[in-house]
Amino acid sequence: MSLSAIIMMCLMLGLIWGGFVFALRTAMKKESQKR
Amino acid sequence: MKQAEFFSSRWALILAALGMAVGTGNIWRFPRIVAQNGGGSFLIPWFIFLFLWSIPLLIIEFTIGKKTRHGTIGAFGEFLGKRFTWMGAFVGFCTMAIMFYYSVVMGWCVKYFVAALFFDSGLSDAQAFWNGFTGGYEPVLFHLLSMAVGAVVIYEGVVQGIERANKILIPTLFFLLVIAAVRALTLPGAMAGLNFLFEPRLEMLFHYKTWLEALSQSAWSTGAGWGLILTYAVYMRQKEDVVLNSFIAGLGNNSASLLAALVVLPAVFALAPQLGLSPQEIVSDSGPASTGITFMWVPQLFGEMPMGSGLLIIFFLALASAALSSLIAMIELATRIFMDAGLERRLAIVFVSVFGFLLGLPSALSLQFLNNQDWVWGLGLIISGMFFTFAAIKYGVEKMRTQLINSEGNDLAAGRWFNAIVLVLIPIEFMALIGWWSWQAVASYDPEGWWNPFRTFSLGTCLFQWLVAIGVFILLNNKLFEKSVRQKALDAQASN
Repeated sequence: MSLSAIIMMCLMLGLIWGGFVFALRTAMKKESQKR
Repeated sequence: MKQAEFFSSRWALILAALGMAVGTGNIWRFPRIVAQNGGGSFLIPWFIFLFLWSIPLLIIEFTIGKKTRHGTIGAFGEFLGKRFTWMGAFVGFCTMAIMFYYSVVMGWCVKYFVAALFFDSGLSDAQAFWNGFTGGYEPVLFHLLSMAVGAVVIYEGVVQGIERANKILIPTLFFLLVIAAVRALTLPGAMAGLNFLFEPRLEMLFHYKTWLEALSQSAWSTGAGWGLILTYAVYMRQKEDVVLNSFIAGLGNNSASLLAALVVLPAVFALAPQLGLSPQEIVSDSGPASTGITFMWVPQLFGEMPMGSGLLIIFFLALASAALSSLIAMIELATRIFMDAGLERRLAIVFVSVFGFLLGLPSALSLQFLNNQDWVWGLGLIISGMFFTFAAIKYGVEKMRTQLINSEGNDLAAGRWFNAIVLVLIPIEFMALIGWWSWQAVASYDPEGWWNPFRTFSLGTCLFQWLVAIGVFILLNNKLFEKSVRQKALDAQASN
């Protein structure tokens, strides 16, 4: 794999999968605060 | 107003929203579109439009559904006033028209899953298998089966049906995709596919087509503007979050798309050379009803690898699960509309599923008809999205943001960015999308008969079917309002 492909892969997986996990974790925290 | 059912928790609502968003388009359309439009370069605008089209529209849908507690027709009537009820009818009809053929598409997925499960040797000659299947009456049987399964789930209610089904379907879908991705990525030669997927071809980034394809994919894949999230929002609790849930649904949908691409592209690049085929040609092959990679190449290529039949079963089970979770949302949308009109839930489900089956028959029997419906109502969804944007603008975007979205229970405040996107960017994106797809129809899809309303991919067929639908709904506007908004108010009074 080329370096630019590796960088793009890390960027996209980080932003999308990372964003998804981060949003879920934030929702879990908020839910536990509400209880 | 008393309401019979609510999602039992936030997680149940999120799973249902993910089930609605993640459909067959994530698995069979996304890998092909990303491959045809510059790989890594396509991913950049695709990511940007998630925030500039899909998530704001999901927020609008959540807000209108939560505020009005009506299906699409009643929601537009109540939110915008009687005069605009027809807009909600168009949104609802557009998604129902998609439901008619989507059930047929789910039937294909189930057929291929069954064939893979019983090691049907016919799958090795994919073209003959596809022709044999679609040339007979089997698509009708599988369409009937799909509609029946969807109706049974809905019949059980929101908590016992939709919620329970999505609690199983969505984790299963992600689990199956992860297993399939691990297997695909460990094939010798898979790295070439990974490189093709992520390699940025910067010249493509300066091509307007890359941006428009990315916007189209984002608009269709997330389910934003379909009225489905509005329908699920009817069952969300009053002090439930809107903004963060929209982000989760949008990002979750795109995560599933990336996962599917990590299955398909590495597998194609690893396996195609073994058959003396060009991977680039395979990933660009749209095939009949845009099913090229999925129904033509995946069975053939997976059959060539060790333990390939196991991966094939997993792949088609994931596809069928994704299709079912989206079909459930579409049946619920139609059911909710008829419930608003005073029909008892179970009767509404029987009515919707019987008519859904009957009106899906032409698509089950003719690929040309299915292609036409996919073209007309797929594009119609962009108009639906614009109607939602119009609703927000007419109501007052600032008022909507401060009074309805950033209300008690909301976890993530929508800032002024929301106003700018809804007031400026989405209308511009709408004009670009409609203009570009119309131009495509005239210049490349059907240059000779673009005006002809009876051609499969003409601009004329879109305008003809949209205008007939809009004309009928405008004529019936007052009746639709009376039936959906007033009837529900009367029912609520009676139950109090």
